[in-house]
Amino acid sequence: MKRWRINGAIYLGLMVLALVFIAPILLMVAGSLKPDARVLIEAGSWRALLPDSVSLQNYGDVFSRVDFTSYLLNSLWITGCVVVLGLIVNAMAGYAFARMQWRGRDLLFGLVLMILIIPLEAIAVPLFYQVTLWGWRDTYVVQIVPFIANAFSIYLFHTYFLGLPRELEEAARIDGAGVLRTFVSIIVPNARPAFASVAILTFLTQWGAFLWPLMVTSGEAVRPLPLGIAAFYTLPPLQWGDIFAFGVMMVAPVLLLFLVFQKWFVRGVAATGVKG
Amino acid sequence: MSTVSFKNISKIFDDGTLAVTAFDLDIADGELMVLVGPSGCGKTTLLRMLAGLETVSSGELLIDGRVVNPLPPQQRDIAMVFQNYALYPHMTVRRNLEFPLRMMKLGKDERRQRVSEVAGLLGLTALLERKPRELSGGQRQRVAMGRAIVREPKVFLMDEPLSNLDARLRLQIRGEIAALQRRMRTTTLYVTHDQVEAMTLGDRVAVIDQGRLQQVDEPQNLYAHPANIFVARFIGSPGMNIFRTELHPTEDRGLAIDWGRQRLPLHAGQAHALRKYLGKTLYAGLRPEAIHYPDAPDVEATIVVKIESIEALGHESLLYFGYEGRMEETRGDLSPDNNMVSPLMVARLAGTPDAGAGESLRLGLALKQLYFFDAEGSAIC
Repeated sequence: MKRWRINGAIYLGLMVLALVFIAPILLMVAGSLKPDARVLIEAGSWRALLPDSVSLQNYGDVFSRVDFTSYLLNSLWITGCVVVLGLIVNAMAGYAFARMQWRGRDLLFGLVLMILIIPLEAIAVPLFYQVTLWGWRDTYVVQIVPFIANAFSIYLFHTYFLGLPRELEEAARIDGAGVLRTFVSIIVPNARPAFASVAILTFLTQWGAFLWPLMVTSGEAVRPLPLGIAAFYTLPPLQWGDIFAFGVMMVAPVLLLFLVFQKWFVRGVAATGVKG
Repeated sequence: MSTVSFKNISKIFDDGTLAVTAFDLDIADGELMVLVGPSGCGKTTLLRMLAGLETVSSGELLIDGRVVNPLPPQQRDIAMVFQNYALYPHMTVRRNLEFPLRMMKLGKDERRQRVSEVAGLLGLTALLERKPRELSGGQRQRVAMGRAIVREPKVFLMDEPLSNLDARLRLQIRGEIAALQRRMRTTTLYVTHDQVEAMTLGDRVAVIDQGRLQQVDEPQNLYAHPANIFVARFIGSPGMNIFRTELHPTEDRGLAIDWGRQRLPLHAGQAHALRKYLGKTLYAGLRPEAIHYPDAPDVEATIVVKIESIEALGHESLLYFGYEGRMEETRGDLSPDNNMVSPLMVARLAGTPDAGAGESLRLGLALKQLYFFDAEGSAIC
């Protein structure tokens, strides 16, 4: 009986905790489907979490009030490029650090690990000067290139590759494959969890990037969604339902990506011992 | 078809470990050469050097008379079966078998034909569309063999390919490997720590210890004429019993040796070969098969032993024993030559003896089958 009570209390506590985490998302989704006038009225009650009268009006409003499609395509292009190019570059770098023998390897890997602890904010200003000198401001390139090579991704790939049986590569070499062919045909297909983890983590970081795009872009043409929602937020009149709809459309791709790659992502994070 | 030569090969790892020292070995065309030795003796390092997976510190490696030291693995025209099979987990059996053929840039039709031939040869036809994780240990082993065979390489390298299989399967696959090699006659270098595997598979067997070649010969010659104490103790299951002894002149101008407190007369031929060792340290060896019940036909002397333990195998028993004075000789690592002598003697007897552990038993010795080694452990006769 006592055990049952303890378990019950634990489950109750966990459910409350889950609700705390999920409530903002429910609020956003429900709010995005309500007439704008009801959003604030119901904000203080549990009804805020339920869409009592479903309408897609807010979504339509977003498209009519700002060029949402442009922001979305910019975000997809920038994030997609960073993810795809990042996977190629960082996986190769991780492999070179994990498996290939070359002079200065350990020293360089030490430097890569050191970069892990330097936040973007610390190098944002010198980086800004650099890209200004190169004439990169207000371009896609400035939002993509600096984020392709990523110390954390290299570290994650490195850790995963170290865990793959060395014999697989040796067998491939004996079977006649060179280094690149071994990497592409043997290593990559067996490191899908690592690729999924890096892809998702990079996507999340890049999808929500705000500070750097704000610094290096001034026109709307190349700005991504986070800057879009910031601008939308300040666009009169203040319409919470519209803002929630914008938010839902901004979060949806992330959730979709996570749902598709969830299995590999969890395996990758577990295998590399990295906390997401 | 190819020859392989190791010419004065040495290997020193980056941390200074000396893995192989001045190793010479020639493998004939179509021969199955087995490298055997205890764990860490350098046999796998030798194999990996031949494969191109380890660099050679000094010496020359030749395949078909061509020095291959600087060549990467893919240019040596070799195939290797790994201890853990190293099958590509994301590929089906068919794709695994095809992979080396793709690397050779063979056309689709030829690839298909070769894969189908090899699959038929190894009984893999029904498994071609399966992934390695869906196969049993024996089936995986066959796929690994198939991937090696399908390329028709100059040399096969096998690194303890049976060690992950259970005893029954090991026996079966061992037979299959032997039959396959006989049929294909591809030069093969096979590494194992199991001397039974070495003896049953090898055309010749190279025994290695501490990175040095101890002896290379046909299996029966290794058993009958070991070059030194290491080979004598390593080859045979169980290996040869070795004990330290001294020579004593007998009244009939012959020689005798000590066995504990007992003195055993030597044959004239043995005495002739050993006379110059009078007064010197000497090791004698006797195979477990040369120790019998006292009434066996070739018994020339009997001894009383104290049984330490008995391993009953059904049709025969392995009887472990000491004798008076023996314990002092071997226990506690006190003796400087303890790695030379056997800690316990063992006899291979038919059936099960009528005595148990702790009891005394009279045994007969076939003295003609005594071996003798000098103080350095090299064979005398």
